[in-house]
Amino acid sequence: MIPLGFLGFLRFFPLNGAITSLDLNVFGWTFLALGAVASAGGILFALPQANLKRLLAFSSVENMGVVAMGFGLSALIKAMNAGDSLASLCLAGALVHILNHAFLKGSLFLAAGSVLRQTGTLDQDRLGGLMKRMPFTGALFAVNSFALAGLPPMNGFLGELALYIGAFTVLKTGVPVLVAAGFLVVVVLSLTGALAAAAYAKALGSTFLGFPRSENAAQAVEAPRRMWLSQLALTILSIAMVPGSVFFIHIQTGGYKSQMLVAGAALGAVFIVFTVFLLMLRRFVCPRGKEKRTSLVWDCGYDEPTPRMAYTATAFTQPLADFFRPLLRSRRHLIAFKGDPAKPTDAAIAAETDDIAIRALWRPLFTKFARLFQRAHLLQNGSLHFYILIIHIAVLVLLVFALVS
Amino acid sequence: MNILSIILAAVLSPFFIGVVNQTKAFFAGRKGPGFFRLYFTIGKLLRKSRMLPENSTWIFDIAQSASLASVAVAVIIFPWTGGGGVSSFVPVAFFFYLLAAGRFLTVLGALDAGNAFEGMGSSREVQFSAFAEIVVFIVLGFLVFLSADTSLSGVLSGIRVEDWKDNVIPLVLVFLAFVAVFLSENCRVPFDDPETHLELTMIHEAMLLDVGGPDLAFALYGAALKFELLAAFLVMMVMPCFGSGWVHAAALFAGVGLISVAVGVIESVMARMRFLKSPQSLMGAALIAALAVLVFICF
Repeated sequence: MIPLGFLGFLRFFPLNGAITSLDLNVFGWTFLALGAVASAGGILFALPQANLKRLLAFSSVENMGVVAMGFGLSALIKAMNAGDSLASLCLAGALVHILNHAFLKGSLFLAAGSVLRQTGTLDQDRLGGLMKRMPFTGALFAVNSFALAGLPPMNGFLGELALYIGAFTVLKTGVPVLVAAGFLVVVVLSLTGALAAAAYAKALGSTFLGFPRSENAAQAVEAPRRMWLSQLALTILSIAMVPGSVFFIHIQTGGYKSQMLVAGAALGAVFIVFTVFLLMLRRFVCPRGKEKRTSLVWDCGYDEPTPRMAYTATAFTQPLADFFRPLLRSRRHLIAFKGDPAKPTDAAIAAETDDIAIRALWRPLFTKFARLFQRAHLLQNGSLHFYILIIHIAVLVLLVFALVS
Repeated sequence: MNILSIILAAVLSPFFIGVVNQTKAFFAGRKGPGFFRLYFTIGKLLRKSRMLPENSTWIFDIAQSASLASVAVAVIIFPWTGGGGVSSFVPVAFFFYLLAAGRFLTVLGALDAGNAFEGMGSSREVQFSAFAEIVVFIVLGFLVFLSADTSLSGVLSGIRVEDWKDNVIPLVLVFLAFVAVFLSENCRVPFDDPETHLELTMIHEAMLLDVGGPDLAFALYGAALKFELLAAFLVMMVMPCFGSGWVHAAALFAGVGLISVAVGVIESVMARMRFLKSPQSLMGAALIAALAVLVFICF
């Protein structure tokens, strides 16, 4: 549902239809600026979220930002007449990214729903270890989060790759405006990509890997088959989109630079083949009969590791969240311990990051409006006579207004 | 010839780690473990059985193999002989996304073991790599702008002698910025100390605490390959292209050897930075790279 807005924009600003270059410039820079802010900001806010669904929702903001940057770059290339196939490469990359994101994010949200149903919580600090307890949901979540982190060999990477190729090619043209736009896209995409990898490593790692950090997570069982079958269907669509994305972009651009995308997708397949080869090699070189043993996890020689010692989701993102603290405005609740300093049992720390748009824009705005309407409350005093008087006054005013004009 | 050079790169990579360690031993007045120590270590580890933490899942099981596979693909697409082959079709962004995929897998493997130290290491790793990624792509943007090519081999072999005459300042700045990335991504001093033995001060090593046997061999070999790859990238940024072929490959490997010596010297004369300083230094490197771009465009 989220990308529907883009459909509206494309209807009003047909990038391939008749439109003046001034309009294209305005459209391009607006989309580029909004896209850059949305993608970098979205992923920055996704990172420290403890709630799994909120993390995924902020990541949607990021992905829509990437799509908007693709649209903007495409419009600017059009405006500068720097090559139709280059413009359609960026546009096709953005469109393909919409499709890929829809499949991937849909599957991830369904998986989050399964987690909620089986454990009763979405707080990543209280989850963990679900891969053993919910193997199908976990495996599908792993594949999809790898793709949405924008990494090869999955489909989430290919749309971004098309954008990278477009942005780098734009740098080649040497037109100053386009060079600035290209650099903006490259820098924002690289920052977004790296932070998205961190956010999805956190989502997957703290929800499905490691130790269960609460009773609910420890007792969880696999969700009903129908719940993960729908995720499986979406994941299969995503895998089909690996060649599908290349094919779609190839058709849209008429084969422009498509050997690069084919190389990207094919080398992704080589990557998988290599992994399988190394796994087989490992089995082959290992001495027969004692391939693997299990042991306690290393905790400096301590032999009773508890889930309390594992890194939580909030702890994992703390260094990045701290670095961007002036932007994120995270709130920290520190409960200092009392009593014997040698036994700090009661100390606790929690961090929370709100949506800055809600806190700095919408909530103050709505409070102002609420206050304004409180004043208007004077008119609603419950007396029928007063209401009739108001109606009369209104009719009178309208009459005068109609007569004057 | 291309395949031969790839095999040569694969075989030589542990040797360069040996060069770093021998340089450090020379500075410390020790005899050192020898240039070929890593080959023996890898051979020994491959013959051992694996030890898995009892809570881990299939992610931990495949993490090191998949991570090494991603670096191996990066080795295959690298233009060791100066151009041609696959590398002229590969978009330059893909190369670094492969390395990022390998890092993502290592981080997941570490989180799967589920202890405090591995969580700490992976948390630091993703933080540093996020900043390193920005520097990398500003540098790449500069190189694309300079060489007017977007493929991996085009970007790397596009620097000519005239470029060095005309644009010394931006090239030097970009080189310095990439040196910071090179040291940070390979977990060398001053960003990370590969020889530390305290879990709390580790970054990359902390993620490998529970990895053993063939998996550890893969991890060590992958680290050696990555060192060689990024060093070769660094060399090709400086080295004006003098034709393809064996001369180029030989010069490239000699350059990687020189960089290994330089890394050994840096590690002998410097201590590791405080953790809080590392992201700041990488942001500084990003600014230096951006400055190079501005200088290049404006003058």
